[in-house]
Amino acid sequence: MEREMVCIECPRGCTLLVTKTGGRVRVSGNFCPRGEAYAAAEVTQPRRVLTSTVRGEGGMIPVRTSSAVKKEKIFQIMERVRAYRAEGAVKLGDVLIPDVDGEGTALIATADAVRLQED
Amino acid sequence: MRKQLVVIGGGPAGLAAAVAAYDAGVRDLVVLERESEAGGILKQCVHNGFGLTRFRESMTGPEYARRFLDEARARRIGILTNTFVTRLTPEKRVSYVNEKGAFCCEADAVILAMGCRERSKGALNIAGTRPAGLFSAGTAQKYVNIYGHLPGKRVVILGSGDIGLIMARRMTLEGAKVECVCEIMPYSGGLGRNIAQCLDDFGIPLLLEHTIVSVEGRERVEAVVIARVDEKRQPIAGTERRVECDTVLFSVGLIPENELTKGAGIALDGQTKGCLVDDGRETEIEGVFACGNVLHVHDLVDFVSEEAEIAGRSAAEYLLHGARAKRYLPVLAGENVSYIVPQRLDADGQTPVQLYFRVKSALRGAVISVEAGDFRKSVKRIAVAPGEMERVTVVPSQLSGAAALRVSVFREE
Repeated sequence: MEREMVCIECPRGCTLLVTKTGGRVRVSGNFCPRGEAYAAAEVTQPRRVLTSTVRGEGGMIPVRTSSAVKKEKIFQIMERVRAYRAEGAVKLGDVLIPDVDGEGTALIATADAVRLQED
Repeated sequence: MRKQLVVIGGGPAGLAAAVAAYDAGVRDLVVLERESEAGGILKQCVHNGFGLTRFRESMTGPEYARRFLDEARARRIGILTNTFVTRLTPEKRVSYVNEKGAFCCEADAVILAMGCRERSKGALNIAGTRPAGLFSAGTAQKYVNIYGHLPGKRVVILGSGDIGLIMARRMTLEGAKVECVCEIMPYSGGLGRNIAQCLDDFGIPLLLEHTIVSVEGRERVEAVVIARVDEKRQPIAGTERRVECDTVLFSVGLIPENELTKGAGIALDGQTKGCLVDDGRETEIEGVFACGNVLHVHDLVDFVSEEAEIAGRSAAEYLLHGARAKRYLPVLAGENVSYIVPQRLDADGQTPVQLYFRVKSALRGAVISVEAGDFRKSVKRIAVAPGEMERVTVVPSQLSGAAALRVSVFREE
C-alpha cells in the first residue's frame, strides 16, 4: 500500500510518501523525525489533539486534550465535551475531565476563566 | 499625560513589542487595548499549532497569548483595557477614550500594533438578497468560541484562507454539516496542514476554481449557487450548481487596520496595505514604529512576535540613544514577488536582517534570488506558495555601493 499525505506536525507541511508492506512502514519526504512518526501513526492508528470549548459560569472556556486522541473517537469525545459544565473559577492547565477518551487522556483548560459576579 | 512609549494594540504584536522595549531599557510605557482583555485575536483561536516555530511546541491561541501576557505582567507593564485610540498625530499625540473619559497622551515614541480585520462580504460582488446567515469566518469563530452559539447547521464556506479552514473543522465538531469550501483560485490560500487536518479529516470537499454566484433566501439563507470559474476568475455558464445551506462563511482575506496610521499622514504600501518601514520597523515618521498584522498580514503568529520584538528594540534604541541619521537602501519586489517587508534598509546596518515576502504564484522547486549591486545570493526552496510567507537574510553593510536590493523568485532549472 502506498499513500501520499501532508504532515500536520508543523507549518512546513511536508508531503510524505508512506509505503506499507506487510507490517513494515517506510516513510519518505519528511524533513524531520516527527514526520516519520506522524505518517506511521496515520497508516496504523491516526491520532489528533482535540481542541474545543466548554461552558463555564462566566462564559466559554477553551480546552484541549492533554495528548492526541484516536481520530475515530473524536465525535464521541465531543459529545462529552459539549455536555460538560465547568463550575467555579478555572485556571489554565486545570484538568476538567480526567479521562475523556476512556484511555486516560485528560481534557484541560487552556485559559483562566472567572465566575461571573452575582448582581 | 506624557509617556516615553505608547503601544497601540494589546494583541500578540503589541505585547511582544512592549516586552522587548522594556527589556531594552524603556520603563515609562503603556499598552492601549480596546477589548476588555489583552491577547487580541488569539483569545478566540482555540485550536493548536501556534508556537511551533518559536517555542518548538504546539500551543493553542489562548496559551500562546498567555505566555506574552505573563511576560508583560512580570515586568509590570501597564495595559489599559477597554481603551479605544481615536487619533494619532504626526507629533505623536495619542488621543484615546475609555470609561474614565477622553484623554490625550504626548508620546516620545509610538508602536502601531492594531492588527487587521477581515475583508467583508460587501467587498465582493455576489448577487442575491441579504438574508441572515452570512458571516465572516472570524465572526463565526467568535460566536462559537467566545459566545458559545453555533451560527448555523448547514454551511458553505467561500475562500480557503486558514480561518475558513479552521472554522470548517470547528463547526463540524460542534455538529454542523459543512457542505464544501469554494476557492476561486487554483490553489488554497491556507496552509497545507490545515487542508489535511480540517477538511480531509472530515471529508469536506475543497472546490478549487469555484465561487458563489448567488445567495438564495429572504429571511434566512436557504441555498447558494456555486459555479466553476475560468482563468480570468469569471463564472463559466452552465457549471452552476445549487447547494442547500443555512449559513455562508466568508474567508476572503484580511486587511491591516490602518485608519490611525492614515490619520497621522503616514503613507501605506499599495501591496501590503501597511506602512512603509525600514529594518527597525520605523515608519516614515521618526519615532513611530509598526509591527504585526497592521504592517502586513502574517500567517504565523510566531513571526508576528519576532517582528514585534524588532520594533520594540528599535523604539527603545530611539528613546534611549536618540534618532540617528540613516542612509537608506530601497528594497524592491522583483519577479514573482508580490511584496517585501521592510521596504528599505539602514545601509550601514551591521546585523543580519530578515526580509519577509510573499510570492505571486505557487512553484514546486524554487530559487530565491537576492541582488544588490555586485552582491548575489540565492537560496533554494522545495516549494513556495502565496499563502506561505518566505524569509531570506541579508547583512546591509555587506551590500556596499548598491543602489537598491531586489528579491526575485524563479523556477528551479
